[in-house]
Amino acid sequence: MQRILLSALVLFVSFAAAVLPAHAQSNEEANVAQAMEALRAAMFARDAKQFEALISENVSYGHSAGRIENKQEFIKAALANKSVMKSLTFTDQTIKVTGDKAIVRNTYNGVSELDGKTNTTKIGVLLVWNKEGDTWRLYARQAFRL
Amino acid sequence: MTNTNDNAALTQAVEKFYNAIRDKDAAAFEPLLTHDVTYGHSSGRIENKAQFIANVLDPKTKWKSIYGAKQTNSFSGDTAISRHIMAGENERDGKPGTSNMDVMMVWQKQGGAWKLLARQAYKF
Repeated sequence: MQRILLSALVLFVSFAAAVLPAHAQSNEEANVAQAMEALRAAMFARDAKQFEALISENVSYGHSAGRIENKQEFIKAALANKSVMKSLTFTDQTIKVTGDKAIVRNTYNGVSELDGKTNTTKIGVLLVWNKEGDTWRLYARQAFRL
Repeated sequence: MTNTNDNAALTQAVEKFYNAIRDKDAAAFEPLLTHDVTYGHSSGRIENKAQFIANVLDPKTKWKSIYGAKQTNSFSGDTAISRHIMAGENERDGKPGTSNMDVMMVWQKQGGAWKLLARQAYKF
């Protein structure tokens, strides 16, 4: 009986060892997906408070048009933007967690309106997130024309 | 390690990386790339590590010179961002060309060595 219990225990421990890292990994992917959704919502709403929480102090934020911003420049420019966001979706999103870094790629699909004119933006984006303590923060971003 | 040392080490890693492209030296990439590297071209093509190395080895593109110009590196613990222009002279299908491409690279320090985690080029 003891031997059976021991075997069962060994089996359980090896099962847990095999499954738990994969589980932790997928949990982190879910956390990054959640951070991406929070970033999307903050971009749509131009929410400075959310940007403060989601973006690393050391971020480098590159636009497809070549402009590169640090955190304060990014927030200032987002708040100063006079166009009205009509919709913003991220499609084709892939998330790869590797230790305390996460690589996200997606397509940014935005519709905005300025002075009665509708603008559609469709660009490819690379985002690298860094886990700072328990929180995923955006560390590097570069958009590119498709 | 001080920041000055990090900057020198990263500048050297970027240089080795471009030399490996010029020399089509697959072995030289091994210590310079993370397993999970994502390599994005300005055209939108995205490669993983194996795809990137296979593309570099393709004989239809030859680099006479290739280097990172106007490089700015910023550091945050074990991570660094290098922004620069991928400059150089190449030959594609026998046609000479010049590269003048803006690039963002994210490097990660693993076991004391800087390795490329993510790269995206962009044209504007």
